[in-house]
Amino acid sequence: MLACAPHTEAPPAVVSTPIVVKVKDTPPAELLACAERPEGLPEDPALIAQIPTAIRAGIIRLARAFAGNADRADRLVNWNAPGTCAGRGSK
Amino acid sequence: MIKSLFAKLRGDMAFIVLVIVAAVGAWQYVEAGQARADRDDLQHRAELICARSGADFAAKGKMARGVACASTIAGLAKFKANSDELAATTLAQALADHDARQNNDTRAARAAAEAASSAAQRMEMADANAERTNLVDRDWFRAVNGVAGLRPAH
Repeated sequence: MLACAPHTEAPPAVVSTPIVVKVKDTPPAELLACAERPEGLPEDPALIAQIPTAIRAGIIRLARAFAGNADRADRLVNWNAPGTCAGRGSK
Repeated sequence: MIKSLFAKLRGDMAFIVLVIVAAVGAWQYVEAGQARADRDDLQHRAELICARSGADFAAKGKMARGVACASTIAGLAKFKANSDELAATTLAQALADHDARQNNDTRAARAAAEAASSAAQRMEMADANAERTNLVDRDWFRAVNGVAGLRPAH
């Protein structure tokens, strides 16, 4: 009889996937946008202004802070997504 | 003296053989008991070990006993080896990625710091020129753009 015919039954194989998971926690796209660098002041030779020292100092502070923040933002974006931002001097 | 002893023994040969046979039998009986106990203990332990691996030691279908269990244990050992290897590879890769990232960032940070410091020097000079009259011109505006890292507006 067929049912009684000797046959070797293969043992059940242990199927499991090794538990090694790469966690990639990508920030939202909005946070991966490069720093915005608009056009600065005009460098027109015809333009001359009289600006008191306190205001000049304020403008310089703003400019310095802007550069620092933009540089750090670009570095942070490049840290998460290498090569995304060209940095200072780019658009 | 020995001859007389043998002569005496010869008469009781049948009894002596019986005693010897009985002794051997008793010894074998004890041995067999020990072997049986040993076997039961081994089987019990094998069942325990297999149960821990999540498989049955008992024969199943046409499979001899212990085969399914051995296969399960082999699979577990392989699984562990694969996991270890994969974990090591992944960690090494992550470490290399981090190093590359760190190097790139260090380079970017140094470039930004150098640009900022030279722009600050130019700014200081341009501002010193405007200090007396408060009049600022193209040079000052250019210096501000340099400090901010911006292109000039048109």
